[in-house]
Amino acid sequence: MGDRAVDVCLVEACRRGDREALRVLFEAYKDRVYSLAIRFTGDEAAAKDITQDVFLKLFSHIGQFRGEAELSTWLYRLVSNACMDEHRRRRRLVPLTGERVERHREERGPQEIGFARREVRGAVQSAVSELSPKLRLPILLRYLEDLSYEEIATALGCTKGTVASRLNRGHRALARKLASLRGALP
Amino acid sequence: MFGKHVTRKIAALCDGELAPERAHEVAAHVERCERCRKEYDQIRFAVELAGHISPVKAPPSLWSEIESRLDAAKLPPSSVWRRALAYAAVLGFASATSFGLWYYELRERLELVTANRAPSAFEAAAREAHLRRLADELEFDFVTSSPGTLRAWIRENAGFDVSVALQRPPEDSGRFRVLGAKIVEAGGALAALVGYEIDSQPVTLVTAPLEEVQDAPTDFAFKKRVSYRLDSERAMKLLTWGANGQAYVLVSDLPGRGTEACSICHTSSERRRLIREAPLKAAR
Repeated sequence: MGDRAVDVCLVEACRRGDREALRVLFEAYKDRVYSLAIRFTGDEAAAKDITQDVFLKLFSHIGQFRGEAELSTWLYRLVSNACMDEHRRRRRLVPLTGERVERHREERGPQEIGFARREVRGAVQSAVSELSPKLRLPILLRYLEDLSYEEIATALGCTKGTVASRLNRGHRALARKLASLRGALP
Repeated sequence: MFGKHVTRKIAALCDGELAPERAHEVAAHVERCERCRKEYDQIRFAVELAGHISPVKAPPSLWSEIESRLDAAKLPPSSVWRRALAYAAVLGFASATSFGLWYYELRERLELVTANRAPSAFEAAAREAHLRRLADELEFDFVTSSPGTLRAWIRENAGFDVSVALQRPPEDSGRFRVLGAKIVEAGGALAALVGYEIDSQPVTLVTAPLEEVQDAPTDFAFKKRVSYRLDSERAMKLLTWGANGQAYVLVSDLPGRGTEACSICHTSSERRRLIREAPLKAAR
């Protein structure tokens, strides 16, 4: 994700309360944190809240980062925890009407992205958002962030075996939900 | 282990996460096993789909909102306050733990309610698996008599824990025998099946994450409601409940209502008494 030596300097500066260092880290990691949050929640407002919370927590809890792992690994852990907290909060606040929270509007891709590809992308994202949070997070960390099973295990605080098992289950569920797309992938 | 199906290794194979030798073995098995090849095709398809998850750029206003929140944040507490807060937190944690243990062991309300509707798909799958066990047609994926090894295997292969007691009280001596576990599909979820015996009577426990089970039992916050169903045709008892995010079904033909089967996890005599004496209510 980032250059380790630069990260170490920035972490040190954050420990001294240097906001400019936080800003540099924010600029380096904001898109990854936000992507994960929005793909997890499917909701722009919630994703913004999660992103803000993650960077504020990074700044206020930087003393807990011991520097044994990459900063990115710690950051992914913060995002994963924030996503799960958000899920728990939402579960408590499910509207009585049963209406779903407003879904994130799919961004229009560049013109050259064909209609079929956008259709598939929308269907995949919708199917991913319907997975249980425990299956959704490893899928996002793997295919959005390109983390290894080891890195996912560290971010989620579980074993590599658990990651493999959740990915297996997640894949099965995705394949089942999107069986109609067989042969339609662009 | 090889010669057994490799379905749980397929995502790792597709993701290039297996060591070369293991990847070769798994790929060779997939090549010659129809069931695993079908699974491979499905997972390969899902991996291809997952490649369509795209990143999203963060909105530009985020930093200014973070700065505002930083400005509004209070100064960190002084070391005296910090120490006082730490003591309070430790005290609070100790009290909460003691209360939790007391509540769980003694006070949690336990309701045994007669089932009044058709079995759910989750219950039907557990019943079916138990019948296959009785007919000697069910092969465990993992055979062990050690509860610890069994739990580790389930954690590794199902991704959740099953709280089978690791040590048994003296009165259980020679009565309980863990036999093995299997990953099965039940009520639309991937579930763990645990096979064990009490006084040589087979008991089957099936459990899966509640949120993945269709028509799942309710996980009540301040009580445990267990649904009791007597399958008179086969003289089988089904106990179904939800707790701590998991759905459970116990199938057996143990005497009474079959609640003795719960003793695989519950070992305190007080808790066992509560379970044994829980009155059976009619469903409302």
